[in-house]
Amino acid sequence: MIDPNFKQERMSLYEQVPYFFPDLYDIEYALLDIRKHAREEIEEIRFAAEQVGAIFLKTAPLLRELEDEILLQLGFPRESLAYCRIKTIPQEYIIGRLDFIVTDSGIKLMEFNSDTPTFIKETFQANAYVCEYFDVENPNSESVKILRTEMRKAVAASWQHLKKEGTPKIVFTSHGDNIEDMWTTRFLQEQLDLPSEYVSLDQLQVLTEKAVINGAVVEPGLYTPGGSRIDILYRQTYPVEHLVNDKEPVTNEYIGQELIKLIEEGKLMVLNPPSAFLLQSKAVQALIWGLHEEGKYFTEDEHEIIACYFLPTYLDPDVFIQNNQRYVKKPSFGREGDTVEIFNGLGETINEEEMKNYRDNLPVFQAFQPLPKAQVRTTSGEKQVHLMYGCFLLNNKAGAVGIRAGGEITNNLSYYLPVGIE
Amino acid sequence: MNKTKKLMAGVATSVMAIGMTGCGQGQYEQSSSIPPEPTEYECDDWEWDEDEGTYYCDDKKSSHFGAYYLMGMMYMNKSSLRSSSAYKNHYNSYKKSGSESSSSGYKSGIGSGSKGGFGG
Repeated sequence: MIDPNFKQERMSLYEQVPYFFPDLYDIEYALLDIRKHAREEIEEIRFAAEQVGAIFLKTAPLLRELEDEILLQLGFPRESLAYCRIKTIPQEYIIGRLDFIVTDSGIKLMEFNSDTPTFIKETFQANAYVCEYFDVENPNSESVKILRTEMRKAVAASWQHLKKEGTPKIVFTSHGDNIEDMWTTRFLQEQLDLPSEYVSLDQLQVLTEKAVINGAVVEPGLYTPGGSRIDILYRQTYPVEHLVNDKEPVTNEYIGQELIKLIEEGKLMVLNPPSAFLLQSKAVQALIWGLHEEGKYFTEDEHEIIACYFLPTYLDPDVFIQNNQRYVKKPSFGREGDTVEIFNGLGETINEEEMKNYRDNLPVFQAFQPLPKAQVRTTSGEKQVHLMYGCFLLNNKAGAVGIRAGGEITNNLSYYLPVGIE
Repeated sequence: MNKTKKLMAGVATSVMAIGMTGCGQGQYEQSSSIPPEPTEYECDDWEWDEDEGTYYCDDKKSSHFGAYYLMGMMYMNKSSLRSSSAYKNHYNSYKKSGSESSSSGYKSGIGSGSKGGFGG
C-alpha cells in the first residue's frame, strides 16, 4: 500500500541536498530507500575496482601504440584518433566509474566509463543525506576528500604542462540547460578550491587564428564570453564522440574539431584528459580479453585478475552461439543502456532497449550475466528491480559506490538507490 | 570471429614491440601520478603533500622552507594556503549574449551536437 506521506517525506529529504535532481525527465529518480551492505562487502567492491583499474592502466600505453587502423577497429571515430594518443599529464583519467554485477558468486565488470561518467552528485553528496535519514553509516564519507585531492593534482599537473606563468584560467563546462549535467559540473567546481568559472558549452568561444579584436592582437585559443583565454577546461559530461560533430552555427564548420586541434597544439588542457577517452570504448574490453586468452602482455597475476573480474568480450558473437550461451550486444560508445540487446544462445533477441541511438556504433559482444534482483520502495509502491553497482575510480583510487536500480538492462530511467553500511 | 581475430592479429606487433623494447612506456607511464616538481622557486627538496595535493618546500636552507606551492604561487604554510583568497571558489555565470562570433573572429557551436544528458 502506498503511504500518502511517503512522497512528501522523499521530497523533504532530497530538498536538503543542494541543487539536486531527485526526479529526472519528470520521473522519480532518487529513491527514498537504502541498500545496506556489510563494510567488508563494500571494501570488496572497492578492491575489485582498483584491481580492474590497474588492468586498464596497463592497457593504455599499448592502445597509444596501435596503428590508426586498429583504433578504428576498436570503434574510435576517425576524427578522434590524434586526440586519443595525446598524453599530457601522468594521470590516464581523473574521474572514472566501473559498472559491476555484484552477486554472491563474485564481482564481474560490465564496463568502464572512463571519460564522462556521471552519478557523481548522487554518490559523493546525496548519499550522505540519505544515510543520515536512515541512521546508517555512509560508505562514501571519505570519497569526497579523495575527489578533491585528485582534482587538484590533475589541475596542478595540467598547469605545469602548459608551462605558463601566473595563475591558470580554469573553466568548468556542460550543457547549461541539462539539470543533471549542470549540477554535476557545478558540484565538481565546488570541490576544486581554486578560482574557476562556469561557462556553458554554447557560450565557449573558439578562436582558430590570430586576430585583432578591439584593437588588440588575440592569440588562437578557447575563450570565455568575457574574452578571457581558458587554460584548463573541465568537461566532465560532454562526450568527445559528440564534440567531433559540433558545428559552428554560422559557417557550419566542424568547430568541435577545431577545439580538439587547440588541445593537440598544447594551447588548451582538458579534464578528463584525452587518455580517458582512449579507455572509454567498450571494445577495449574485447582487446583485454583477447590478450588474456592468448596469454599475452599481462603478468600471471594480471591474468588472474582478468579471469576473476572480466567477462568474455569479443567483436563477434560466434563463441557464444557455438556454446549456446546467452550474450549481450552493446555499442562501443553507448550510454545508459541505449541500443543494448540481450540474446539467447541461438542468437535470438530476448530483451532489448527501446532507445536505439547508437546503431552506427561498432557493436561489442559480452557474455551475459544477470544482475541481482531486489525489492525497493518507490512513490508508486514496492517494486522488484535489477541492481547494478557503480564504483568510482579517482586516478585509480576507489571512491564512492552507488547503485542503479531498474530493468534487466540498466537505462536512463533506472533509479538511484543509495547505499549504507549495515 | 573475423573481427576479433583481425583485431588480435593487428595488435600482436605492438604487443611484441612494447614487450621487447619498452616502446610506448612514455615519460609518465613508469612513474607515479604526481606532477613534476616546481622550478620557479629556490628549493632543493620538494615534498608532495598527499592531503593538499600540492608540493611544499622541505629544504631547511631555502627561504621557502615550509611554504606550499600552488599554481605558481607560494603560501607561507598550510593555513595560509587554505585561507588564501585565491581559494575562494566563485561562480560567474554568464547571461546568454547571442551569437556575435563571426564578426569578432570568435566562433561558437560547442555542444551543438547534442542536448546533454550523455554523461554515462
